[in-house]
Amino acid sequence: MAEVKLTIDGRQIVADESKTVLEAALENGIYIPHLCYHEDLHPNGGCRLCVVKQEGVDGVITSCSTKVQEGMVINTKDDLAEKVRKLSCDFMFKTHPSECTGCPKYGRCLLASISQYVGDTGRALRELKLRVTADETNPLMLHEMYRCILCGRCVRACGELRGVGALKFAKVDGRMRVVIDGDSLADADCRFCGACVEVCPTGSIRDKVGVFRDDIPREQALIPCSAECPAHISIPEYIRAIYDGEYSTSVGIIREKVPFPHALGLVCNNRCENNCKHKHLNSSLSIRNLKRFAAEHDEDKIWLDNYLKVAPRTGKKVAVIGGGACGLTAGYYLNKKGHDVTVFESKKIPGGHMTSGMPEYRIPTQAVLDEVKVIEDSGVKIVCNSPITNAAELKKDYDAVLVAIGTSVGKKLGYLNKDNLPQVFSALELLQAQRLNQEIDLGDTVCIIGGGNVAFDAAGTLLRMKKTVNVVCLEKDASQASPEERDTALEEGANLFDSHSNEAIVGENGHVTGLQVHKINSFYFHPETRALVEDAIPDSTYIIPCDSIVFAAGQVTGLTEDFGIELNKFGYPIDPKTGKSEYTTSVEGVFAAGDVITGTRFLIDAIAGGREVAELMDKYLGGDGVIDEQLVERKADPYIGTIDQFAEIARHEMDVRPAEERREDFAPVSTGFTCEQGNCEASRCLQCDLRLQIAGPKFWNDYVKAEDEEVNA
Amino acid sequence: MEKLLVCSCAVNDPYTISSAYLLENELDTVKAGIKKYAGMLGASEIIYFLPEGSKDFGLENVAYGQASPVMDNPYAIVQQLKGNLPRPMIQDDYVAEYEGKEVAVITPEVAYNLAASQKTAFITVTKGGSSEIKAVPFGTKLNEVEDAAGAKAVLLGGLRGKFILPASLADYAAGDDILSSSITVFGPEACMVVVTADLMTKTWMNSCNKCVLCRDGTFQVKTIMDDMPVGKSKAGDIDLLKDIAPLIKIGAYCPYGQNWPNTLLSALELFAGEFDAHTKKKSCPAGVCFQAGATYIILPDKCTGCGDCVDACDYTAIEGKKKFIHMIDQDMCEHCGECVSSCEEEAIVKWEGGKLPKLPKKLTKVGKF
Repeated sequence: MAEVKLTIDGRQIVADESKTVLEAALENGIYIPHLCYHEDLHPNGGCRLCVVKQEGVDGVITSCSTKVQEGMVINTKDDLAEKVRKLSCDFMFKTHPSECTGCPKYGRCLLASISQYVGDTGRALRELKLRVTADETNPLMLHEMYRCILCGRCVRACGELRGVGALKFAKVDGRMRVVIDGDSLADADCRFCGACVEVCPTGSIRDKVGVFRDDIPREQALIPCSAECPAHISIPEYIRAIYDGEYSTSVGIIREKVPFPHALGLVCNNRCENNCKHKHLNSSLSIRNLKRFAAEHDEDKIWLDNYLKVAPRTGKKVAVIGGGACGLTAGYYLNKKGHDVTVFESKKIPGGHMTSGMPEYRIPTQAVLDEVKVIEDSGVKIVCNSPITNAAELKKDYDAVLVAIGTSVGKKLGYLNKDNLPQVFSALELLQAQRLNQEIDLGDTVCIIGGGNVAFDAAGTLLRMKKTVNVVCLEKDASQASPEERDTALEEGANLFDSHSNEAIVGENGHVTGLQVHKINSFYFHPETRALVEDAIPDSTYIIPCDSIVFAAGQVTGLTEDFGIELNKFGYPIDPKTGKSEYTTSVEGVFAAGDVITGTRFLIDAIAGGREVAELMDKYLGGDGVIDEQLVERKADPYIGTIDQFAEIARHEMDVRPAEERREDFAPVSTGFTCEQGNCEASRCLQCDLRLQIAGPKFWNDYVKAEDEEVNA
Repeated sequence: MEKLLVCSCAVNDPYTISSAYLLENELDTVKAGIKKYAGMLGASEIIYFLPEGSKDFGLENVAYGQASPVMDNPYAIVQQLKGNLPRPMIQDDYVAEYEGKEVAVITPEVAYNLAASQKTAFITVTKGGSSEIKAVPFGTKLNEVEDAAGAKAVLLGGLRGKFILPASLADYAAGDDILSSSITVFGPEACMVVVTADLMTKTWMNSCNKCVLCRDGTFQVKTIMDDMPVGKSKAGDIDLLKDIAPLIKIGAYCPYGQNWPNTLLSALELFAGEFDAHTKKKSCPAGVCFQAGATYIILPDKCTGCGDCVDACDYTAIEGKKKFIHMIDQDMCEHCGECVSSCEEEAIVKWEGGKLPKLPKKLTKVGKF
């Protein structure tokens, strides 16, 4: 590309010959007012604001559509050009509402900014306001076209940039309008990408209030799924890779943030789906199931080479106590940053709750071990059957220690078991026994106390162990649990005793024989004492016969002062400087993360905690604390085109094996999406991230600033 | 890139009928010219673009769309072929593309002259409400085409032309320019304010509305002009028109926007006296405007206060409430007469002249007036 020399406002400028006069001026900090011009769109020439004087040419020229030429002399502040600009501004404001303060775009409106710059002439022109009402029918986007000044940016963005064409110009009663090319946006095959909102210089097309959060930075808020994900996985990117059939790329994108794509695809509590923009159209994307689909179809593992690359060794040694999701995640990143990492796991296999705290049929051991293997392959040393009793002691041999033991002790309500009967277990003990092939004396009939997700995990496990299962809980319909998990277990044959309060575990000859309960109408926990307050049904006491009891009543760390770090009264490590449970502890160089500081949470929280603590520990060890990485190349074609009946495509659910079949084994409940289902579900994604590719609004003072900086430099 | 040649027969404005005339009467020559041009360009396909409702003249490969003064711009044609409104694109190095082909444009008038031995202008001459085509060789003085003897004004070139006095026709010659595309003659009886207002309405309707100056400029000018024949002009309206029209001429995006202000400016200059009479004295030298029109009134003794007329009035010119005598606001009344037929009591009448009966000035109960 050849360069040409030209003069703009007396300044010598060198510009590439492919540039327009406007581009050359803006790049050199010379502001020419412009409104319909947008750097990502084809020049339009409609707003007449960018007109300038070219020496030797009659009248004015349109700087957005005139290419630079050698020797050109341009005057942007020419009197005639400024008069034309002012007239254009005058005209626009005669069709646009004159009150700005009531407009939601107030302060961010390009039109207002330009009129401020160009100035008002006060010509006594006729008021020609467009009287159209707001169109609020679409759940995502609001059209208030009485503010529209017809710059056509939205029409061009939708047509040229996206290949959709849901918006068009039309003359209605002699007046030009931007209208929807159909009865509704959905009917017009809109893909709801938000490009029109992004480029609208006025308040005519806007996001509806409530679609995006306003308490976080805009670039995060615009991608609600990633914003909700504690690890901020780039969800739209990996879904797009699935749609393109590039499953390995998809897994690579997931792995840039989390080392357990498959495990998460199986058991994540998918908070990403809570704010998915698509939920306003019909329902959110099935993001978790797509993640599982990608993980199970990743044959090429194209991310692996990059994944195993590690930084030069720093010579620093790190011990991680606990081989669960949090510890292994932190271990992976610390090793990657060049530190030598040893993970100490108390049980015979690593994986924490993934391999011993959740049922096999939800998360197969082998799937977890395969993902742990990759971490080991990257250089992390994992030592099993190695419980650590004192973190402070361990620190003496290491530069840093991470306590990531989770909450691995299940609570048992001792007051119910006054006789200390032996057949009383925690759900964790049950799950661990089943998964690690340990002996457990359950008998034939088991009562589970508790109504949360863990209770139903225990129920499903017991059913597969051919036990009769009674779930006893206070909540009507076991409303604490996710409906999906509850219904799965009930379908498989668990009996639910809801609105039941426990009185005592009864037994004979040192053996559990039943659970004494009564029925309640309602209950609550006292806000101060946190004691149970119930409205019991009189004379409803009876005994549910059973051979053993499983408590699903929460979990604790099981830590004592012997562990060598300061704990609060509930057994959680605290940093004495703040008195709170944080990544730092009372011993310098000993860190804590995951459930052990947050209390029992979800897999993704443990992983996110592992990432964050790794950043902190790397800095502590002298590194830069940056663990972000790009593992794979990805595409993001903004030209998305149309999909027939796009807005109508319903969310896909995975096929589930029949209850009578699945209770016979520990294989997964569902076999996952078929390729057709996965592809179709991925096609529903609104690709919110594409909007960030579009250049954001720039005001005249932004260009002036750029010029100042240049002068200062 | 392959090339597509479009013969645009939809560029004519409402004052010009030459495209249709040529397709009807000189099709062979037009076709020969198109073929010749297609050969020069190396175009592989030819499409005829006709105005909606036009007959097809036995042509093949025909597309229909709206007639517009920008339909000589390749991008505007592509837009219409894609089902969008016509909007021109004028840009350095710009290539208009349709289905992978570069679009070039020719009009029947140009095509004819490419093939004919004698360069001929097909001038639409409109006089006394009827139009005819006069085919004359290039260079013919326009006064030889139409002398417009005794006329008040002549509009050359329709929407994109200018007004001249009949005596000036000799200064213009037939050619391939806009000015000699049409000659529209206005007789001594014409009010030039009404003529200009009508022209500005057409100018507004024919704007493609792409650029602000033409879109809102035509609308402003039309609205300001519409006020003149009905005595609603504001002081300074003439100055306002003289202020904005030259700027629109300079600043508008395409030749349409750069040319239509000439008609307005030439009218303001040539017929300044008529404009001044309308705006300052509210009088019409031609005796066309400000004629006392019929007055519609509601007879207070017949009105039952039913309210049917209020619903019938599109201009909200009738005031009243149930059981009160209704009244017509004469400033708001547009004399459409809808209210007359809506009144079952025959209380609303068209008062052709003579002294008006006594009417209530404020809301009065039925029977109390």
